[in-house]
Amino acid sequence: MTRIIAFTLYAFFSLSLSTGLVLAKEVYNVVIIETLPVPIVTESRIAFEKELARIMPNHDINVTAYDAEGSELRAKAILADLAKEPTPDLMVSVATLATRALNASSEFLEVPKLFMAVSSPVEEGIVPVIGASSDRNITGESHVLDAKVKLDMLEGVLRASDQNKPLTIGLIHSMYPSSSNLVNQLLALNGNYKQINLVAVSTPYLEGDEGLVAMTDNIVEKLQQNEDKLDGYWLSSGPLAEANGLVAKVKEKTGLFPLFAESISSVKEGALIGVVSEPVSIGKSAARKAKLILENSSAKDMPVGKMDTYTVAVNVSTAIKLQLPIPSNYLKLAKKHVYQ
Amino acid sequence: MIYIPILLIGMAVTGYWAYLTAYDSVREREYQLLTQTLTLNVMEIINERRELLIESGLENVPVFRDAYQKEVFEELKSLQQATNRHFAISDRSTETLVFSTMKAPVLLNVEGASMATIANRTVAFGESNVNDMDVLFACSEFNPWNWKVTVLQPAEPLQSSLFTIAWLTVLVTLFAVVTVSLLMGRVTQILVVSPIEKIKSAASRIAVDHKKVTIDLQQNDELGGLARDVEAMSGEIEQYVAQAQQANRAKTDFLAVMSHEIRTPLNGIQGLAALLLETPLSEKQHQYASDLKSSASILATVINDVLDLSKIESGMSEVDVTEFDLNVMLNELITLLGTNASSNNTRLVYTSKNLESVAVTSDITKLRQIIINLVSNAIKFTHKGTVRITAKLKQPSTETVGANRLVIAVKDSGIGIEPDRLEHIFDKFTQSDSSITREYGGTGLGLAIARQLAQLLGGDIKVVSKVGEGSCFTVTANVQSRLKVESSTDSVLVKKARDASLPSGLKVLLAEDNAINAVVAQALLEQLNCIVEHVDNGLKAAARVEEGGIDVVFMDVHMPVMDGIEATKRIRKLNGDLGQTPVIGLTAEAFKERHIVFKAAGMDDIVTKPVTVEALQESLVKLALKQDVTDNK
Repeated sequence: MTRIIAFTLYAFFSLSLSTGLVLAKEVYNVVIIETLPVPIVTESRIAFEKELARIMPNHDINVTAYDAEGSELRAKAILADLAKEPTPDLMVSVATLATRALNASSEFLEVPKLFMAVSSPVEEGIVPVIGASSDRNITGESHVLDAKVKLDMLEGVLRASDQNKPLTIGLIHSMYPSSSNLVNQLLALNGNYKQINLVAVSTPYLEGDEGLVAMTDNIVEKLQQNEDKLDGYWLSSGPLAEANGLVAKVKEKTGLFPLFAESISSVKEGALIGVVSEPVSIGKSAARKAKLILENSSAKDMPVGKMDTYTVAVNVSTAIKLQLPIPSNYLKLAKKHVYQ
Repeated sequence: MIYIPILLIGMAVTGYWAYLTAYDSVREREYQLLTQTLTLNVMEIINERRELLIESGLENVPVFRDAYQKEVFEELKSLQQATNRHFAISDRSTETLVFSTMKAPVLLNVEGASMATIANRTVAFGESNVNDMDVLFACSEFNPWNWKVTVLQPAEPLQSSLFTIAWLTVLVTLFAVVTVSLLMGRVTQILVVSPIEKIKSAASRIAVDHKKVTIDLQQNDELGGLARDVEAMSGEIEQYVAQAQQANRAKTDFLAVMSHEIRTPLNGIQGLAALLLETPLSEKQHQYASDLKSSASILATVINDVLDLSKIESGMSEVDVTEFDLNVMLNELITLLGTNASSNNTRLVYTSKNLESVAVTSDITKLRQIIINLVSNAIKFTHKGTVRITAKLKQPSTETVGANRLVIAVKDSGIGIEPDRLEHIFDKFTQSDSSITREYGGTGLGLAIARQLAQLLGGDIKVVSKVGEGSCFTVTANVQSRLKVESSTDSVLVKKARDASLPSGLKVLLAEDNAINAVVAQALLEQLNCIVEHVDNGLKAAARVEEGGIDVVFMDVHMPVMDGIEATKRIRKLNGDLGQTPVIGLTAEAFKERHIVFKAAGMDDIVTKPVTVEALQESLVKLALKQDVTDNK
């Protein structure tokens, strides 16, 4: 009897163990370092996590996120701490400064790395050209449209109106790397466009929330100084684009409207036209690359590219006020992002 | 063959119908493209922008509406470049032009345009003239913007493609016509021409051979039926020809028999009359005997004419060419007929050209018969006038025998012939006037025979005449001629025969079954100083010759017990000189082919009944001279 009971218990234990082994999910440890908690960064990271969990349902994804607080030094410090801990399966950087620190780190050369929301991977030295792969085991996508395409779009809008002279547009930006890189590209191409006269209006990059407010005030002040010379301004990507109340303040102080913006929120606030990659799209696209890496594709072999999905947004109220009709093809592209 | 033009007309009509169909189809397609361009492209370009303005709440914002209308204009300009069609937009109320891709203003007359509803839009389309240019147009209205939108297209490309279609249709139709014609020609060749040629060939064979033919045609259509009918007809023709030939043979046999049966008693009559005239008679008796001889002579002439005509018409008259001296022959005839002319107080004059020392090759008998007939006629119808005979060869003769044309004219100064009777004088049994028969006599066969004989010699007889002034008959004949060299045996024979006389006391055996003819012949031979011995059949004649002492045999052909032919053969089988005893045939058969048979049996010469002393003498002399020549050799 005792023997029968012992055998039964043994069998039950064995069955439970084997069932547990079969049902147990593989665990992936993913580390995310985001540059600063601005909407495009935070929303991209959230979309990434959600999409990765959705497309890899048979795995437990343990995501650990770190905030570099808009500082490259802070990002490097985080990486130094992480180097002391068990190596993760994937390291993800969001935005330029965190990516710059991760790419520069020699502690994680063997760990596959993925970046997102970086506007200029070439200028950051990650790859020599778009389409090339990095030997530092890092890959990712630029979320920003080519400067030429953006200029073409604005030229198209201005051409549709009966402008008899080019509009002078203040190109406001901070010295934040991605922002200054893009501005340089735009200025280099400006000579090819008859309807556009870009004028750089810059502010030094200041870290943290206080820095963002200070940068905003600085820009508003500079625009006030050049109010008579400007017909509008171009709100380039970077921390300033995410600053709260910038558009309203400029409008209040100068009456100038942003003619081109690189965030949907700016268009909502009054920018004539904007072309951006939405954070959700950025996060989802990065999640699909992460899945490939976790399933044993090598980041070294995956070329750095550009996003293939962009969103056009227009503000018809601004268009009416400025008497700059939005061409029908842009209006058609904007679809759900036509704001008043 | 009537089907070919019908077919060609049908094809031409089909080609024209195809052209019209293609014409309508192309026009319809062009209008379809034009109206579709208007409704699916132009109107959609406009409507899409208006819908966008509505969706964006910008419909009533002038700057947007103006900008989007400007976009429409820009797109239409691009469309004009891409499609080569022109676009014009005018205000529907004021008819003022809002936009046009044409430089000149568009004044379009749309009266009589067709109407259609395409994509829920009413479209007017048609053909018009704008600024001196033929155009196809389609127009519709866009009410929200109060626009009338027009699409224009030059008609020239359409007319060009229609022209191309017309040419292609013509070429294809021509090609089809040529192809079908060739095919029809081939089919017609196989189904119609070839069978007709076979039937024609069969008909030719029937015409030549008069035999039943078989035509290799298996088809069951009309031509096949015709072929069967021709085959059946050829069988009947063969049968009829056989019957005709049999009838002809029967006629010939009848003529031969009749000739023999008539000539035999006539021989007796003529001979006895001649003998009677040699006896002492009173003047009245002499006149009766003389009339009897003349009547027998006329009867013999009539019989000879009828027989000649029968021979010619039955195709039995053959051309027997020999070489002779035409000049001599004509001179002899003139001498012969001179007596008759003198009795009519008419002068007979003969002249010749190119005939001196010329030997002519032709049928002397037929030629002589023709001339005698014509000259006798001329003498008969000329009183106290002149009959002039002229003969000539058209080509001068050479020493080499060559073809030539003989022309002999007999011209008289007689009563002449009425013009309306001239064309009938060569008809049988016809004289220019029935009273002539009564006045001048004759059978009316002479000229018919003469003309047919001339035609047998490859020539003809023509006549010209004037009443009261005389007539001229011209005979032509194909002959051969050469310059004569007087050295041949025949000419010696003829010359000697003319001059020679018979030896006296010639022992002659006369084999003749008819007692009267035997009496006549014996009397005539005795006039020639011959010692005549008479037997009444061939067997006796052969036996008598075998006994010896006979110099020459006159052998009748038709005799009881043994005929003359068999008896001659027996004589020829005798040994030594007896087998060479000369045999001269005596026959009432006038046909030459029979004479050939007799000579083949061994006879040396033939004398035709009724016999005359001249004929007997000539034959004996010819025989004697021939023997002399042989001996001399």
